[in-house]
Amino acid sequence: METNQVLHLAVVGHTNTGKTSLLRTLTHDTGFGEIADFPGTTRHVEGARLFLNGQAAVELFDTPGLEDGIALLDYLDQLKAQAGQGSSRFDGPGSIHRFLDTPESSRRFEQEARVLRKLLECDAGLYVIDIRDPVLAKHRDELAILSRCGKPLVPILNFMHSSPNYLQDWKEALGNLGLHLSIEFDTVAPALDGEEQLYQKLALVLDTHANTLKALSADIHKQRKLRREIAYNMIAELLIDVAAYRYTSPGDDESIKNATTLLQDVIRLREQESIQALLTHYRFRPEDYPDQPLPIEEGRWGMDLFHPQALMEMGIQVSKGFVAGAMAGAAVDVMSAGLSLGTATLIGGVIGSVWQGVDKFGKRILGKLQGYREISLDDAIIRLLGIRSLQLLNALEMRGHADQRPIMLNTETVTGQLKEGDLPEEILEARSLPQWSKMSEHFETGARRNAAIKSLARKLH
Amino acid sequence: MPQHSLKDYWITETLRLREEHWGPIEDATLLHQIRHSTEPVSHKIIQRATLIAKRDGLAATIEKWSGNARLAFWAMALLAIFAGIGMAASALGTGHVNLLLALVALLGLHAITYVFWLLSFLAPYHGGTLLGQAWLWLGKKLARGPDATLAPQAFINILNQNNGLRWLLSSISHGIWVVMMTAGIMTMLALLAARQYTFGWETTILPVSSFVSITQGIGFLPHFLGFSIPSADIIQQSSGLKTAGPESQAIWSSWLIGAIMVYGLLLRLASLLLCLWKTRQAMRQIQIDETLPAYVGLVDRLSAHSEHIGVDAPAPALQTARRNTLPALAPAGSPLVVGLELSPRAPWPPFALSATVHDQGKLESREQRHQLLAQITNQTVPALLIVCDAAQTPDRGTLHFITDLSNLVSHTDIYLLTNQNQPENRLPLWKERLQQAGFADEQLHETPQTLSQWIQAN
Repeated sequence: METNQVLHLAVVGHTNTGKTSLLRTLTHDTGFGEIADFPGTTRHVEGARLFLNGQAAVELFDTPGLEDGIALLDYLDQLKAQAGQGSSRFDGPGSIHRFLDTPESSRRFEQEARVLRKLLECDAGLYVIDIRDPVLAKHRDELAILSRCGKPLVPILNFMHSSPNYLQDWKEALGNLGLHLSIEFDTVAPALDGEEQLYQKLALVLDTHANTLKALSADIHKQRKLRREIAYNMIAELLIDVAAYRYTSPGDDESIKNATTLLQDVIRLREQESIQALLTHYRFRPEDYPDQPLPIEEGRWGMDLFHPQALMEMGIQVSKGFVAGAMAGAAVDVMSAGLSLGTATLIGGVIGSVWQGVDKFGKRILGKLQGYREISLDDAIIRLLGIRSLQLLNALEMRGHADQRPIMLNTETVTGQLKEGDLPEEILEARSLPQWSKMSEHFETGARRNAAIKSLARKLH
Repeated sequence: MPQHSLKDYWITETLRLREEHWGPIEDATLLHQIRHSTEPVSHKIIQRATLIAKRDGLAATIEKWSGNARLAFWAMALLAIFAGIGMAASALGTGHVNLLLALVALLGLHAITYVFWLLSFLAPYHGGTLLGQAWLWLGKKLARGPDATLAPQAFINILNQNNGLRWLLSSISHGIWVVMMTAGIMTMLALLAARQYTFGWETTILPVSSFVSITQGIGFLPHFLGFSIPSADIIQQSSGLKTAGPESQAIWSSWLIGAIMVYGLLLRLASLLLCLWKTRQAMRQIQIDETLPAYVGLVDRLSAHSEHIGVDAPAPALQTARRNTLPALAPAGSPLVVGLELSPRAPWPPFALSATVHDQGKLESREQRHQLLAQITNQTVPALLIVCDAAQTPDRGTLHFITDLSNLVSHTDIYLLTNQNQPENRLPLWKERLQQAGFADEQLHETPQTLSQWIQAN
């Protein structure tokens, strides 16, 4: 069966054009290989296997960059001349095999030999081009050598977002070599559906593996949607967690101030945790960014959650009760304990949960009577947390796994209910249910909490 | 595709709770068995949970808890039997039975709780019935051990998914009432068979006619099942302290039992059947929602996108071209300037050339390279200026060619062209590689200022 065959692809190209970056982006693995703005960063062939429904579908091989194409073509000519002009064995793959048997293939041309050896073993080659480079004779010579392997070559035009570039020159040059179908794929900032497009276009060229490639493309689309849905659920959970969190403290000012500091720390920690989880979910490893605590743009993201400036920058309306300074972001609940929230819900809750709830309600109301206060998070901070998380999600979706720059957030990308308008009812419901908060010692994760997370997530879309 | 049982979901949910409360469980070896199967992720999650449960004895805990739950049900059923007997005995009393009071004693609590149950459908929070909650509570109290509280919590969670918990707890509640009603009716039959009772009704303010309509209204439904309805005469005769004949007492007892049977036992039985059916339906629809944040890490690990294969052979050391230091040749001929692999858009020459300099032009192709090499081998060139584009990558081939050229002339200068419009350049990289190739710092130029001998003097 054709679909059961694993497709072997060699990723080839001139040195420093982003072959390893392509591998990283296609494998969603920031830890693959080594990337640097250096010629010859990769000097060996390294492979990765892509799965389709748990089964190996494609094997990709990252190869060293071709650096000495002109000299190698000279050498191939020399080999041909030595063998005699008429010998047809020295055209096409034959000449490459002949070259691989020579001692030079493990000396001056060792890197090139590794590339050619791998390409001969594979079904096709992906020729990665940095379109910021002009089309030069050395590139043409390289392509001439690669085409002698007799394998289909598919040009991948990398760094599409860069200008100035030589896109037209490259397309013309490739067309002259009979390579009319090329794939535009920016390894650092791929299009949202870039990967799907890439496999679909490959399916056009490699028709013997078209089914595998189309299935892979469809699967990647499905996985992307799923990943996105899960990410929204994660953000919704963060909001439920922080909205439900409350801290009980004695009623005097000093204690309330201390409690607020504790609350702020808990919320900060939860945000960090959420960012880490989102990064991991999108397969960006926080440890890949050793210079920064988090690969987030300095400044805006570095802005403390409880700094009033952070709210202003996001354009969040602050209520009259919002306190700046040490007490920022805390809502001190004097008597109501969330009891005022939705009388209907409360009555329903009391009827339904007499058995379960009397205990907890009892403790809370007892606390009130003894002069305790409940500190919870201000609405404005909940909005800020939501908006920041959604911005991060947008940035992660657009990010290639080869990108080495810190993550940039775009303040314009998030609008809607979190910025203005009433807070979603799920957040209000969470407010009255402290056990919904993961940070609470009485944390309970039940079906109703899950349902609230899911319906809140739908509103965040 | 294998069908999963309620217990599988229960185990999965228990494990989810355990991992959410106490952190992830080690599963590396188990994961190898599951990762590469073609099943959907939700099935893999269940598969992993059942494997872990088998390994860690979680299944036994759940087994124990369901045993406890069953025990709790039977304990409550036993209580219900006693309650039913007590209820019937107290309703009938010793000799004379006040019909309305007996009816209230036998059906009152049942009616109130039943109305509550109906009202609970109006409330948004679906906590279930009091009896049902009591059963859950009892089950929890009987359980011991670290996972013991998680098992019932997980049970509640999975059932809550499709409102199943409401139906299950309702079933328990109706079941207990059915037991109680059955026990009550049996007791009444036994008492009625063994003892002599008189039935009557009493009132201070109600008219007699209202009793007739109440009695006949109540008896209307049981009549379809063969229970008798007392005639208006008998009803009137049974008022106050008057007693009708023994055949009337038999009719009254049939009426009373019929009422308990229909409005108590059969109503509860019908509700029980409905609830059991709904419970079954809800249980069938249980599924794993892999989009929940709780499963995030797991989904990623279970559905591998890619894996490393490894490398073909260790990478060789970075190769560099080396320049030979030649004895200085006697200067003759004219100095030569050449642009190496410059962009077609780059202006040429980069500056106005001095008249003595020979302009070799931009050089790129293999043939041009050969030609230049041949040219400078045949004639001595006193000085050579190579202009390179610092925006490009200094690759091995280019460096080889530069060293090849410089080996043939007595003095080589290299001008690294940078473009203001293209701030990204690789100037430091070029310098590093050229220095490695044996060029001295003063041979490398970034600006035309240091190349005065090449520039046309104004």
